[in-house]
Amino acid sequence: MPDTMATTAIPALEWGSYPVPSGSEVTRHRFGTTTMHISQGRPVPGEPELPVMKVAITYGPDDGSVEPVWSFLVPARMDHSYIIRPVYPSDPVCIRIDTPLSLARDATLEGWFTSIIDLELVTGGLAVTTYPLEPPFRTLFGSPDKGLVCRFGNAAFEFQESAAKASIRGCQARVLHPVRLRNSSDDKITVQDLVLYGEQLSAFWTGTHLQSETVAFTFGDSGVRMSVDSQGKRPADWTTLATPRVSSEELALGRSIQLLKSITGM
Amino acid sequence: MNEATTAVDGTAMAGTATEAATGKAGAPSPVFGTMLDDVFGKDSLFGKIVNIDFAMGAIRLVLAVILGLLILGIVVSIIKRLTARRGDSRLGPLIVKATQYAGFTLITLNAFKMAHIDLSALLGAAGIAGVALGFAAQTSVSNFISGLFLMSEKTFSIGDVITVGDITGVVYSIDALSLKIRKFDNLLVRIPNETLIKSNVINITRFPARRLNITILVTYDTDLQLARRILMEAAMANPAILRNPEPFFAVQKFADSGIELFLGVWFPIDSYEPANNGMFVEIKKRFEAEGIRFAYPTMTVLQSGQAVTAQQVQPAPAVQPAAVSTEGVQSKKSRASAARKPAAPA
Repeated sequence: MPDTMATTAIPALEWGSYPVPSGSEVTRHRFGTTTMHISQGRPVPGEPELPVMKVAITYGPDDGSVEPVWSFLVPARMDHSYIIRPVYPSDPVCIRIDTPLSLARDATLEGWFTSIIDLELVTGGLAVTTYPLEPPFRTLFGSPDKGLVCRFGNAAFEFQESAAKASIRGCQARVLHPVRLRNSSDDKITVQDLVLYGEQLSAFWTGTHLQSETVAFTFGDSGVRMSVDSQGKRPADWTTLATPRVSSEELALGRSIQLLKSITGM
Repeated sequence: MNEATTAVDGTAMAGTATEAATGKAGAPSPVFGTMLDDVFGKDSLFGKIVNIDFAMGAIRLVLAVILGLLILGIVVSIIKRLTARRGDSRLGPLIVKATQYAGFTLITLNAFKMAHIDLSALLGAAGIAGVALGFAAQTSVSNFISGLFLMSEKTFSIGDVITVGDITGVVYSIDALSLKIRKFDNLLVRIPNETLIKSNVINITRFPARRLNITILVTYDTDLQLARRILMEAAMANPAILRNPEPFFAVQKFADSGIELFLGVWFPIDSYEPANNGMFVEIKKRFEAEGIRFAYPTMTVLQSGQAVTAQQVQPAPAVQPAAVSTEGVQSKKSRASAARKPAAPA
């Protein structure tokens, strides 16, 4: 595997800033199996000239077989460049692990899995829109009467770091998550679905792939709780591409209110 | 005559002047009292009623009512804020209404007392009036009590989509006596709480996901494995359909005109339109592409034991939500038919 890794060329980082194409030119950005097409919009004849961008997302091969369906964007502010950056989906993502994991009482398991990330388009300093880099299927985590509707994702759970990194080497649409699973309940549990709240995570470009902080899932008798180990040291050459949208203070406050509600029944 | 008149007037004038000087009239403002006498005439019936005591009492009464309403307003706004903070859209309006009614009753009783109106006489009459009012307010009281039960059950809240009888819409407001529903064609419907207590209420948006039930009638020559695969693929290709719980497929029965298939797919409650329309369009497209035919009721007519003609009987929609089944229609037609073949597609 290391030999293969050494020979595979890493594509240049696609995330970044680009000039708005002139005239009818179209710029294409390829992320995994998804292509983003961007072009300058043509003002409507007879209407005042507005800065308009044309954007389209196509899933599948980028061989022209899929005709892009354009959306016209009229940003509040627009300069002659735009930024595309990764952003975690606003909805929680339910990752279905290919092979269910069995955890004995008090057992801890470390491993790796990946999740798909969204694309955010920024121009004039303002985030204009986001696009999922895979068709956004949804799923239900939990029972139909109390469950949580979340973005669907499936991934393999890797026990080896090298295998995990090799699986997404050069891919800029998926993020690698180091995870730690802990069963603090009184019984043995089987884990197949993990709900990932991306709003709490960062995304770093390591030079070969995107990676997040270590995510811990603690399974208790009352449910599962996700927490982020954001204190871990990261190499200096990693580039931060996405930062958490929710601070740890906000999370702590939100959780305290939820706890109070559940205790008091308010 | 003139002197006598003068004497009488002079006495009267002197007397009035003395009273005014000593303030014996009992009024805080004799000048104001004199003005009232001037306006209404002291000896007139109206003048006897509208004296300075009456005027002061009336002012006190008005002030007390205004003050009472102000205090009630403040209390109600505090309660509104508290209930809004708790986010209880069902109980909040009811508590506010109850407070308002209680406040108005207190203000009214206080006003009666200040006006020196003997309430005991009123209460005596209230026995009779109560019976009359009881009859008159029977519906309102029933609705109010029903509202309390509805609040305690917490079956729905503002913003939920519910069905009551044949009315479906978004809960617009929950009041003490009635529920207001905004239908999808933007009509406001008022439903008395009593009706809600007596009716079946379906809350469509209570849970995060729903199942769309699709019943499909296909001809007897259909490859059921192929039909199953197509249906499952159609479900998995629709982004509005949830991956979990997985779609459910079943062969329902061998019906008169074809094989009845069932497909249940789950979708988030906010995705009814893309889930429903997407599934029906895709199923029709995929079935037509794969050569699977929808069945519709047919009957065969035998004439004098000679000629046999297969005749189409009013085509019915073959793909339909289970809730709108045409079983009844089919069975009536079946009874009418003299002879029947299981599969005779046109």
